[in-house]
Amino acid sequence: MKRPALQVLLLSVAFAATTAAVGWVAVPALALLWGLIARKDELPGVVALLAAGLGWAWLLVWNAAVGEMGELMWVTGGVMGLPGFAVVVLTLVFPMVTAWGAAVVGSAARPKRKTRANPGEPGNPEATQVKRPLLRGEIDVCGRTWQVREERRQGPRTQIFILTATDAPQNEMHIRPLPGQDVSTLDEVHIMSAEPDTRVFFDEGGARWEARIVVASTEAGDQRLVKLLTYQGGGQVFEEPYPFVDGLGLRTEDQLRELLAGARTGQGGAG
Amino acid sequence: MGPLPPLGPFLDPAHGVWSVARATSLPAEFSGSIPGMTGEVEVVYDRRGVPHIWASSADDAIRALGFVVARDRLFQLEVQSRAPEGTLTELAGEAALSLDRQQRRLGFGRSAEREMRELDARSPSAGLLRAYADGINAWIDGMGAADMPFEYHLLNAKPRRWEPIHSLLLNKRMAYTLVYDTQELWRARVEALVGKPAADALFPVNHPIVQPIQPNSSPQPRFDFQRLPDPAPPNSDATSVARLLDDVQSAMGIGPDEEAQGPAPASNNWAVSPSRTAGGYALLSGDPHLELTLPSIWYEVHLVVAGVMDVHGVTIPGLPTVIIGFNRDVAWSFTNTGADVLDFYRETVDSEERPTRYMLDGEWKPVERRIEEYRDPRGAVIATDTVRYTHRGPVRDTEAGHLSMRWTMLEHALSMEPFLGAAGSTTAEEWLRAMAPYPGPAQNMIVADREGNIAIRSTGLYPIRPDNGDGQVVRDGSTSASDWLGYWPLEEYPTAVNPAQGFLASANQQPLDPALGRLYLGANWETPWRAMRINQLLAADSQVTPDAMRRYHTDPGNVKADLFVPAFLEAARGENDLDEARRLLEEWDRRYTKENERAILFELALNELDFRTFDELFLPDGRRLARRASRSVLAGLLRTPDSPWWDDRRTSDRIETRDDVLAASLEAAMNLATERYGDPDDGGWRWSAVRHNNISHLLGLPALSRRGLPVQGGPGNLNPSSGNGNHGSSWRMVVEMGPEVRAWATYPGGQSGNPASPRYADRIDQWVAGELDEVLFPHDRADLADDDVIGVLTLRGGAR
Repeated sequence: MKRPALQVLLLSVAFAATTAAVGWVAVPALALLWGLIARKDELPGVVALLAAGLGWAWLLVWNAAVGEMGELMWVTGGVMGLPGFAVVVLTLVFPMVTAWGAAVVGSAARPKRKTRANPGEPGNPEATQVKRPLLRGEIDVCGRTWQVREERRQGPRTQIFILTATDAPQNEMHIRPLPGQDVSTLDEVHIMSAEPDTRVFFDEGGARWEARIVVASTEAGDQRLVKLLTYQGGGQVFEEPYPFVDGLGLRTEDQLRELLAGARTGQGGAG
Repeated sequence: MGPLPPLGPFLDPAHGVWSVARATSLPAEFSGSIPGMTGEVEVVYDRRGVPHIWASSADDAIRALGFVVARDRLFQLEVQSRAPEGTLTELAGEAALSLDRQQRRLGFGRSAEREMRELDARSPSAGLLRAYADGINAWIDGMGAADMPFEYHLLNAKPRRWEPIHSLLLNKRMAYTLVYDTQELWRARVEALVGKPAADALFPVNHPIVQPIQPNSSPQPRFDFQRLPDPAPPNSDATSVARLLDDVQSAMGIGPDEEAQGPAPASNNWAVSPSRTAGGYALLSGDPHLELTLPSIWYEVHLVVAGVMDVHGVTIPGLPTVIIGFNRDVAWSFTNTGADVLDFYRETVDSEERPTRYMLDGEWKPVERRIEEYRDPRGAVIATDTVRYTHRGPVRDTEAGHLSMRWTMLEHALSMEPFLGAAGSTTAEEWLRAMAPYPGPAQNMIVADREGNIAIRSTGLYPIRPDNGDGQVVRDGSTSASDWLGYWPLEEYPTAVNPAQGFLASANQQPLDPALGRLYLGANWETPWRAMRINQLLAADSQVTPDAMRRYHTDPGNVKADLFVPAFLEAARGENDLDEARRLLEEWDRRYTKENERAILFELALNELDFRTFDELFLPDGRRLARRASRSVLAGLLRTPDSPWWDDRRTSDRIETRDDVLAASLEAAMNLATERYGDPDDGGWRWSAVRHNNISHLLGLPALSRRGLPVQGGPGNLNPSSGNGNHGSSWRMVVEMGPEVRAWATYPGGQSGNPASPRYADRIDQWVAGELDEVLFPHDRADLADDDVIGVLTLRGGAR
């Protein structure tokens, strides 16, 4: 949560500064720009909304610090037939609504980047292929040599690489977070594979583990099950079926944490 | 609540309405530049928010004055100049259209334009008008976002640049406030209702109570009551009269109430010779009464130019001079004379619908046409008018005919030279000489000097009509023989210098004893209740102090009550139904203090008496068809108990006498008071609960106004409270002309026009309480203690 807060803070300063420089039109202008450059999964409308309100709040505080805001609030409210505080609320709501609207428009107008679906998938609107892979060539993970097959952005903070081992079959993949990132910070990891039985290797700092995705048929229909097979270092084998409603792979950060914790301790994981 | 301004620019905390907060306080030190300024000017703001301006030339001082006035009162400047110009629609849109129409039909714009063209560009007046404009515009040009006045944010408007002509227009506005009296028109209605003899007596040229400004031989008022001629039957039915009234009022843009109440402004001034003061120095009091507004009409300032002026007082934002005030040697103040300086002429025209020519001495003369365009804030034309002019002035089309109007205030420009000379004068005599060319609006100018002289003169241009006829009739416009013959010579002006009685006072009463008057000056004079009271107070005190002068401003006594209360009490005697009312009225000490609980009964009874006695001037629905006759006429009528005027025509089965009407009025007042305010001793009758002063913002916005202020004083008091409370004492000043001049003053408002400023209305409590501030009148900067200084502004010359 640090990154969105920082975005709101910095953007609020920008809203305050540009409003002071050029006036209220800076709000929709800046929010529109923000909508154009921010990724959709970064919730540009919400960030702009909060930042604009905060930005104007800075300016109100500035006015109050150097002048008679209390009296002015009372007077302005009286003229408008409102309680004084309502005018302040209106003053904060106005840029928030304006910025939200402009950011949403900007976001909608943002040029769509070309998306490449995983093999076997009809399309993946969330994942965007990065033109230039950060990892090139082959890397050594888990004692095996892996080839970078794809690099994807997945949400505002997630950079994953889908790797296939040069000496491994297609149903083996390795998921590795961006260097320096903790895999446990990933909001959501989708592991997609057309193979009914895919082995997935995670690389988290010094610890490594691998999972196997299998498909089992149940009365309720197909369920994808993740089976955490090994955890290197722990030496234990943990198996826990994890149902997914749709898609393949691990679901949420908390679930992943629990799975990882369970794998490390050899105790039960998420159900 | 009007339409909302666009929210973005309005709410913008950096540039919108909230930015106003940043300009609420005066910076400790700041600077500015004004094009054309020849030397550095230091402006020191004292703890009362009054700027003391030290300059090396009069022009620089006036430049600085324009700058500081604009800083504090920019919106007021614009409104006050746009109002007479008839361009308020450009600021406020269509809502102001009727006001603009009314003003443009009076011809102010045309008159000011002509005066500007005729003004000698090298004259001191022209220089001062330009210097003032330079100062205002320098402020506008250098204004930051926070300096934009609150009202511009509300209106989503920007201030316009100030032009010298705007000052001329503002003087027209003052003339409109003070001397625009269409008595010919409403007198015609009175004549239609009760006949000419009765109309003449109801609205006499000479007031029946004589206590003139220029003292006569008697220090006591003289009562010249005459028997009121019987009312004649109306010569047209009331409906048609009402229609005529509506038509004329509509043409004038005046509401019925406003017309019926008559001119509201009233003022007092008085001066006392050293022989009657405790300190042995002349004392002078100024107490002009005007419409009460926020910001106030006045702005207090001290201007110093070595060897030229060292004057402290109040200016009207928009006029480049101190109007009322004092210097090191002389103090002065004004009251309105109320002279008749406006006449109407019925013109013979070639077309009733679209006149292009008018008849004069058997020849057709062209009618001048002026197309008036009214624009909205975006510049789009929203309405047009054609205003026609004869050589006399603007023509107004009414059912009564095509009436042209001649008015001194459309013919004579405001000149700065008299004020400049007055500011630099050293004796009362010199001051009077300086003010002699002052054209109007005519004022009763009182002056006192350090040598102990006191003097008063009613100064302004007074027309002389053919045959010294009065100005209360609509004259025949087809002959130039109807035109004015000239103006009174100065030596005929009502004047008094160092009278034997040792004091002088004016309160808008008839300036001259009719027994002395040779020329017609006016009619329908203010009833001299206030003049009688101040004369009473001054005559009774041979050791007047400045503090006594201060107390007189809000003196609760009222001589009117002394004339009417005994009559009510006598009429109620023996009437069992009126025992309670009589007891309450007897209890009354005849004072209008805030705590008084009996004055309201008297006031209601007097209103009832007026309504029941002069029912000939009302429609059955209670609507007044003509201006109210003076209460002194009513007082005179008390002497004829069987006059037909006492008969209430609504009661056809009996003929009422004076005492019948007095008793019925008291009973009705008692019932009304109980119904409105509860039982007499439950607090609801307290004067402070029933009568208030209301100080309205220029835009009439309640949140920016101060309403419901308790007032010590009633109708006819030295501190009068008018019906709607919108008029009252606008500046109170006491000056002691000792070796070092000392002064005390206040006004109902504050120096700042910023509604969020602590100085927006900071003097109102003091004003309500009848207190005054001691004025700081430093010789130089060093005379001001550090604690007395709240800000210093340095002004220098700058590029144009």
